[in-house]
Amino acid sequence: MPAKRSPAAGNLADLLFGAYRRDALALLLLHPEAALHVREIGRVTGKAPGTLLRELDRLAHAGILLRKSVGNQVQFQANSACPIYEELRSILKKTAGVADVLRAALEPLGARVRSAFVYGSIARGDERAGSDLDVMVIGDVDFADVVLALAPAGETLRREVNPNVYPPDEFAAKVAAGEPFLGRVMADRKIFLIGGEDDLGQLAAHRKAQAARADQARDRTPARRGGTRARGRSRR
Amino acid sequence: MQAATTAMLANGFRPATSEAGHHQLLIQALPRTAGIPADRVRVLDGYRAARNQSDYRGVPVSDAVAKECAADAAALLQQVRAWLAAHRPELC
Repeated sequence: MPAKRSPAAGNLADLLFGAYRRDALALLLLHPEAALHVREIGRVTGKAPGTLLRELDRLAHAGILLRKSVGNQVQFQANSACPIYEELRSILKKTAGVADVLRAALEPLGARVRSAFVYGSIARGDERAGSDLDVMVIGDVDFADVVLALAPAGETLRREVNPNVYPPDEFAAKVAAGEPFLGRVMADRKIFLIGGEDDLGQLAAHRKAQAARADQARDRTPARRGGTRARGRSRR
Repeated sequence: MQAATTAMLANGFRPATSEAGHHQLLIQALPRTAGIPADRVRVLDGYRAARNQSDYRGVPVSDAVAKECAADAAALLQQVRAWLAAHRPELC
């Protein structure tokens, strides 16, 4: 069963913001430590500096960005004191800033990817300037395919992308066995790229049902290997 | 890593292994030191990053990726051997 693609998630940012505003906000709000000159922003986003400057001035006037003069340059930076700073960052992260870019990068791998999501500091929202992007990919794909697919996305997002690749069977078996790392990931916050919480739950539970059946079979024999404990832990 | 180090040494360079980043450097130099294609290097660098994550951040790799990595490492070893035979026969 191929994973559900979240409908229209690819162009939510386009719907909410114009292209200039979307790109400028994604760049500055997701790199809040960076104070950039309009030409630098233009170079990274591939947008014309004239229009971009008008857009940046408007955003600075509204208090979303800070505008400061350094020598004869004007630099723009995210304004963390803006009342909707965190909310905007979260919207951008789930759309233009991170998720859209990664989703588009994984698209060529098609239905072979059953579930994919961002986890770790970026998903939790406590990332720092040099934080890596941790991406979990569950499907019948090679590590090599995923690395090559995600490489350009890392360049666009200006972060190192660390993919973690699991075939569906191994993922389900390890979740069922209470593997601590996957237990943490399952309990932690995620930004879904392909499929959603339900699809992931199905992938994990698929094996749980199998394991339960195997446990019942084993219950009839005395040599039982900690089935109850594993199931208890995986629910964390 | 040993194959990449051998390739570097065979080209007359000794990596500064006491400096941070020498793993990355050795892998990224492979197109020049052993004629490995750039896409391969990206994948090998991915394994390097995964090893780093596993050792220093406690992010394990899946069995499937470990298997794939071992196969790719064996392939790299062969490629470096072939390169040495072709370009540095005196070292073989």
